[in-house]
Amino acid sequence: MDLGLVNPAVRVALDGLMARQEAIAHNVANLTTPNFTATNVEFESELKSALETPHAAGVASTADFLTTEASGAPRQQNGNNVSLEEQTLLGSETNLRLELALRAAEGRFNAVKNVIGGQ
Amino acid sequence: MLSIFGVASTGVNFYRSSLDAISHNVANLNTVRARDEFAVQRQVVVGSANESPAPGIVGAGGVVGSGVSFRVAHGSSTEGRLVYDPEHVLADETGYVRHPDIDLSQEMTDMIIAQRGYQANLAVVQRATEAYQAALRLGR
Repeated sequence: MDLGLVNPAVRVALDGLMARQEAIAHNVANLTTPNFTATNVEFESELKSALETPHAAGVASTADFLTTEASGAPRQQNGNNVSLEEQTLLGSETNLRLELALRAAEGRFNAVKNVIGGQ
Repeated sequence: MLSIFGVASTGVNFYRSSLDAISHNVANLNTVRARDEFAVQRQVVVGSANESPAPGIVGAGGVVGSGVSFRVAHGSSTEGRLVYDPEHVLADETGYVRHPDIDLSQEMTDMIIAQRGYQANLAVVQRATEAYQAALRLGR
């Protein structure tokens, strides 16, 4: 049962940010794997254009927005191009964005809870 | 659900195994064998990326991989290094013994890399914990 408590765009953002965290975990796990190319998860621009399109069918499934792309960062001698600094910064930023998206979802939750409580 | 922990744990396991192999190499740095025996071989842990996705996250434009898998391989030959040491109990009539072909400075630099990799993966676990905890507070 979907009560529509979570805005579809927020839902896509939450899934996308979690996918990005997983990509970061994958990149850090392969920090020294020879010939490994880092993966980035992208969804913001797709989501933005979907929301801006007038008369759009609406935000359907998260999978439509998620794209993964190979990082073009310079490679080390063993062919690996994971930058630990970059991944750490991106991870911290992603966590903050996640917190922000959760707060957006929470506002609606609290409103509905107040209505149910009758106060 | 909770797949970040699974991905990060493959990284933690990989670097811990690297540390195990390095400690084996350093422990056998001076393991001498007779000339007609095989030298102790250096162990290396070789990682390769899991390109298949962890269950749950598949997007339209590709998948997110699920960490690293590894195998243990030999990093030096059974030949080792022949060292002239006629006083040694294992020396043959020509006076040679077989030392392992292990370089301490190589092991020490590998150890620093493995240690930092281990810490980086644990930092990912820590961050995933924070993210999931924030999600669990939703609707409280």
